[in-house]
Amino acid sequence: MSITVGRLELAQPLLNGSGTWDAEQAHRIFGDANPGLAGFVTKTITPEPRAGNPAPRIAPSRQGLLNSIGLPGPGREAFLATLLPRLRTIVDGPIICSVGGFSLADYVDTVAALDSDPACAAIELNVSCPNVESGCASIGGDAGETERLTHAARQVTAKPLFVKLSASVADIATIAKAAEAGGADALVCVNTIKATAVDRRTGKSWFGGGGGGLSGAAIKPVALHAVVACREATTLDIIGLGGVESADDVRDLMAAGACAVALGTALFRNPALAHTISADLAS
Amino acid sequence: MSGVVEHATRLGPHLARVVAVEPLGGLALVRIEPDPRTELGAPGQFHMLSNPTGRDYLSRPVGLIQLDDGVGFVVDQESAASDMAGPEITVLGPLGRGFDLSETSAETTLLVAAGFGLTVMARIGRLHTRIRLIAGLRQADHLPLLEQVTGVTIDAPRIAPDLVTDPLSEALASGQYRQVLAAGPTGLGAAVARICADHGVASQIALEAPMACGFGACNGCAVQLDGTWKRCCIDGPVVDGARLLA
Repeated sequence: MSITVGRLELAQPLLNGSGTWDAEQAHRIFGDANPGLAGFVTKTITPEPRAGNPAPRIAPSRQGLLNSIGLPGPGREAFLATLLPRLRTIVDGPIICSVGGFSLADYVDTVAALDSDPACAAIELNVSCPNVESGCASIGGDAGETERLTHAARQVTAKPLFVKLSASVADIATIAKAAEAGGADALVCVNTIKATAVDRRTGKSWFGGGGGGLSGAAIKPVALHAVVACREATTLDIIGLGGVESADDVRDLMAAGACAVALGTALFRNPALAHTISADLAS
Repeated sequence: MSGVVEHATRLGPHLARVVAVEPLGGLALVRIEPDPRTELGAPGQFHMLSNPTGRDYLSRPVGLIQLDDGVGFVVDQESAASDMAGPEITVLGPLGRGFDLSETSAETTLLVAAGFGLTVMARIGRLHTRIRLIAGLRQADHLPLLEQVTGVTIDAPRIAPDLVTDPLSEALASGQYRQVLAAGPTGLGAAVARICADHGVASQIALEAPMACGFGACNGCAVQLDGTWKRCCIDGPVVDGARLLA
């Protein structure tokens, strides 16, 4: 069942969500970099290497997972020089590179570098990062910031450009329209929902890095709402993401308006889940 | 540490039948049906277990142990009666890096373990007999856990607040031991590594950390290694103790 999402061709509609799969480790451990997935969405690439947040980073929640990971990664230079070429040799299907940063220039520099690398098939903007130059706490929480960032990225790449939205906003449709106005090819709905676990002794976030986000089955209804809202507000293709655990979850998101669906937290329990869902969808 | 052991891992979990849940003092021993898919791997490697009903939303890392008549694992009684209860358990593994036992001998190797770390030593005791084990327990009703640690020579166990580090220092001062293999809660690893370094003795430490996946995807199991944050499931759980001190 070949599909096209935001000008990117996929052999079938299942992907991973950024930050929920490590293709290099999966290849080493299981002998398959992206089992049952049409391609691979990388972890968010930041300009500089990042160690990620101090422990603790995860906590269970009812029908969900709380996390505060902090975007660990090798940084742009090492990603382009080492990891991306390696991924190209082991991933079956297109590689979608997730890009993050802390200023417009951060994003633009990474997008421009990826544009000239044939191993990168498409680019996903993780707009849930702050813009420290403007003082905006989350680019994706502000329509103007989202449009400016998407437009700036659009100027330096002809590759399919996706914008991954947060549902922790007052009106996701407004943000979706801004991404469309900025030149996005597709939307990814949705990132984790702002959430946390509390240290009872201090009243502060239990996570070493503070903050936190909720993923897993608990957020599927939020994802459905976001997909419907974005479908009604824009003409963009949508990748649905949030709480997908079964073929019926995929059907629900596609009925809501998604043309492709990403798996996330459920992969942690079952790294072969995409195979199971594909078989169920085929039957 | 170059000789760490890894095994190829089957993609995807499989269902294992639970044949018995037996009280083990304040803990519980869960026996699962022998199955060629349930490969134990090397001592120190772990498996991600979860309830197929989804009652426990996240899998948990557990060290499987070899029993005389099969395979099993130890959990707290509350988990055995709730999250992990049921006729089947979902098993993914073996995962992570295990102990390098190439230099192991009863004459020169000392084992140190506390809590669930003792189940790791149960594996080593079946491969290398008569090694001395310094054991620590959080509470006295966990003492029956030691019944599962066969093949080793166990010192009188230390029950909290007594620490395993006191007899460890005394043992290393004798000059007999060339390496220490340790497993236990977070604080134990760093303390053992420090004492070993002070005595010029090599150490391998099996770390514990909360995990959601066990295969490098979730980045949740951050542990401090080499002065930065690394994934326990990928870099460990067994690491050279010197890496905890960098």
